Amino acid sequence: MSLDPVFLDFAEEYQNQPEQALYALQALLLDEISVSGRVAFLHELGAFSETDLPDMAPEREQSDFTHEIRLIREIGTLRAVKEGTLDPQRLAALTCDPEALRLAHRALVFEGEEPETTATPTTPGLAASETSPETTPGTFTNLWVRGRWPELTDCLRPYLAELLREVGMDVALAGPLLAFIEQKTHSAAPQGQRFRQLLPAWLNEFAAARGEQPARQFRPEDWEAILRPAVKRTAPRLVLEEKPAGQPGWAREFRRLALERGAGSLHDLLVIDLPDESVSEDALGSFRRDLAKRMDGERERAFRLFELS
Amino acid sequence: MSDDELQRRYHEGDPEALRLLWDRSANSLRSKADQLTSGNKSLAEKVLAELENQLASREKQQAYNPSERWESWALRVLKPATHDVYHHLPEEDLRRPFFEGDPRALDSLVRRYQEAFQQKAFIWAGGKDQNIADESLSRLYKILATPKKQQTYNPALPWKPWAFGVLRREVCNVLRDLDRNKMFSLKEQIEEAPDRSDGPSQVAERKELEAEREKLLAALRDCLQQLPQELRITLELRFWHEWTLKKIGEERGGVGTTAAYNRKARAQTLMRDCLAEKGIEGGLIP
Repeated sequence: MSLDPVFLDFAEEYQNQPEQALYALQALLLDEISVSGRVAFLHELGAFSETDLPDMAPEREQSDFTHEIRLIREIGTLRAVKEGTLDPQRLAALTCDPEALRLAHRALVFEGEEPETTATPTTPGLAASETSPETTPGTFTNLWVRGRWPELTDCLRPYLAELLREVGMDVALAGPLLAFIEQKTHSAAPQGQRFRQLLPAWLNEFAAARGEQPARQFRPEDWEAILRPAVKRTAPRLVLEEKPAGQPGWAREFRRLALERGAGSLHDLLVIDLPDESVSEDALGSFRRDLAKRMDGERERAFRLFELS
Repeated sequence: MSDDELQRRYHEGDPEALRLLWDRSANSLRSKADQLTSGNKSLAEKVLAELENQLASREKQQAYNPSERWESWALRVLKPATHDVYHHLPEEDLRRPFFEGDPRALDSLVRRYQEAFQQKAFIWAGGKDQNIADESLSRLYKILATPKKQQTYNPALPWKPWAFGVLRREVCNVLRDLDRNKMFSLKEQIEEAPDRSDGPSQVAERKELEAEREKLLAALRDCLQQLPQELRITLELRFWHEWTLKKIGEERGGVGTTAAYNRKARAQTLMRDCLAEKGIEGGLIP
């Protein structure tokens, strides 16, 4: 990895050498480690900015880069700029937006891939279905079959602490557990099994390897009863922990209170009031409803990932 | 019966002649099949079955010239028959031969994904310059043919995503090589390019990447912390708040655009130096 993409000042580079700047951007977008480094660099700058520049809004203004990302993925960055459909200024903004960068990387690298298919098996051997279960997009099994490791890891990471809590194990083991699961998925194909079916066995193996005694036994048949509560608790927390750009102070305070009280539904949110009278009832009501809707959405996404729905 | 007589009868379509000729040439056909399949016994069997099938066809019998030695003819048919077998194998059956260095498995895999590689390489190169895509593909094919790279592949997993990962890295390398004065010396660089195929396995490679990422995150935080506050603020304003250098110059002490530029450059240099001290610099991950 070169450090240049991490510190790339696209706007300035583009002014001096447009084509070189676009190639540098393209190299950044393609490289997972560079994107990670850049995203971390931006987040760190944002965090330092809160203390270094207390008078400035700590959050960035939210911007939608769907159009730009689609062009990068479908037309190609240089061609789209040349044709005038992609604005270099928007690209400069994209390079400073951690979430947009991550999305652009994923879209460019992973999306549009056709599911794995094999030539007609004219010779004896395993049929494709025996090694790769039929998978639905948006599930861990699908990400595993297609070797989309970064996505699999990113989506799984937030759910492991609650999963460990649910089976009575130390939540601090979430990191090692993630590494253990990564090792399992990276080293073998699904062999006809689904991610969810293998998770209990992996958890048992992980616990045994670390000499841990889970308070609750987990067998595949009661796995759903373990997984559901863990997902239900985690999904709302993920929504409440978000830090959208341009968020007013009262909204941040509301999120903090909701997190403190473990809110997970509209009903929970309705009983949280703010001491700050500067926010109108309408704004607060709409904020509560929006949060509740997003919590439901996140829960559904998680159920789909774990193939619980 | 003499070989000449058998060859004539084979040409006329006598199945018994084929059987006898086959038995007489069995050793050399088997040996060649082994060689063509890089010693993979199961694949060699498939190739021989395909060859026998093709030699029994009326079309092949008529194409055969009875004055030619039958064994030479059969050995000539063996090569395309081998190609046909590989071509029709499902991807799963080619994974292990590829890992074990079978060039025909590589050829067959590359052929079936060639179009997808070309499309991806073009888009990944920015969708404008076919030369960059071609250069990346050429590097890809060269690297895939090296035993070191082949041994980093895990044959339990689909080949295509792995190969796409190799291609992506090559496009990145080509784009980075376009840097500054290297625009017209790509060919020389291929010869001089370091062997990037090291790595014990995909899992280890993945773990290495994760470890590098963790190391980079910790180092970034530490280095930003150590940066003089005014320099750090310049980076915050430029990259997080997206201020122009002109605005930074005006609003941070009225120092002007050039001074703001110098501050930013100084901050970047200090960050690079600090990261280098922590073992993180260009070329960290090949």
